[in-house]
Amino acid sequence: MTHHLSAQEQIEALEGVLVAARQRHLEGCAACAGEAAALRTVWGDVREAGGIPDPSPLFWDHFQARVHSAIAEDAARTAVGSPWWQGSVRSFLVVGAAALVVIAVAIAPRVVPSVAVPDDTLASAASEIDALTDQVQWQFMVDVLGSLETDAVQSVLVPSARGVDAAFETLSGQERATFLRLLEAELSAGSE
Amino acid sequence: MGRTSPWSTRVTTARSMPVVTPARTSGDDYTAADDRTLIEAFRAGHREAFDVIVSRHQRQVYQVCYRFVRNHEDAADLAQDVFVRAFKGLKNFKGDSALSTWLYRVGVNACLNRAAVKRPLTEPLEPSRHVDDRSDDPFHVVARGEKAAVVRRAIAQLPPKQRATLLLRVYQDLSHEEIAGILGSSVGAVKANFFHALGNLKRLLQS
Repeated sequence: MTHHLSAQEQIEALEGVLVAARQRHLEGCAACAGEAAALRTVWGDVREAGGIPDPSPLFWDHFQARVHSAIAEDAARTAVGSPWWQGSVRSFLVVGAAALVVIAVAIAPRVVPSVAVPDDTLASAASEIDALTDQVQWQFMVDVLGSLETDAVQSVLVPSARGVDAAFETLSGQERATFLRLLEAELSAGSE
Repeated sequence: MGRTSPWSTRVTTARSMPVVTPARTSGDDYTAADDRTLIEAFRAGHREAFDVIVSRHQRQVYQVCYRFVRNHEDAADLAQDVFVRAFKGLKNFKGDSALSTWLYRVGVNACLNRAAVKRPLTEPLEPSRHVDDRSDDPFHVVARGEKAAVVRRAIAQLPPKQRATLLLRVYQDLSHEEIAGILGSSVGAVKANFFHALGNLKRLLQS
């Protein structure tokens, strides 16, 4: 026994284009023949129900003009552009998005929690810094800092009160006078 | 064309629309031209060619739309919309299919889009308007008209693609290949849709 007709084959049978081998099956299979007969009946009902009331002849006389008007209106509408509110909404969204970005950038440093940086991240950052040593200015800084002892670097970057005093003691009289003059000028400028 | 063309006033064209020059009515008669010639003429700026396209295909387009929506007002609106879309889209028409098939595609898409946003109307007209009643007695005319109305109501309940397949195959007599091109489906899918449409109709009519 061969397989029953598929959906496609039933349609091909309905339209009289089923291949011969499958046609032989259809003729010998009650189930497929019954299905085909039912489809044929429905198809006939559909065809009989297909009448369409013809519009008034006046409709066709005016249809061309109606299409012309619709095309002209569509062209005018497109030429004018989008409705004003669409542009306003779009502008509002763009400005809003920009404002959000600005706010996010402004508050980002405050909300980023301090976290312990993993060693591999530090190593990665160090390698990136090494890559920058190609630049002359950065190389100069590296050379200067590299020539100093760790304590000396710390005394420059994070001076203590005793270190400042000690440094002041090393100044000559003229240097001290100059320092005081500059300090007074700075203080008077700051008080204005 | 003997009459004054309605295209004699230049319509401002949008960015996406073909640049159309003022109409040239003298000596341009496209009524006998084939569709390909009409398309080329339209692309060259001869709007009278578009008028011929409309008059040549308006009935078929209207009928397809009517079969979907089952009322004149909506069918007329949809048919008008099809030709507006055609006016804007003909410049992109590649000619892979017949112009009528392309217009069917535009029309079916418009109808399917409408079906997605608006429930299809059930039979609004008296059934007897749809039947050929020239040679039957009144009893049979009424009975046949009522049965036809029932069938049309059942067709309106089919899923959109099944309905489109059925309408294009049975009433417009399009091939499965043409329907596949219109619906963007395979031929196998069209045949399967057709089969399921008939099967669903059988079930609906029995109930």
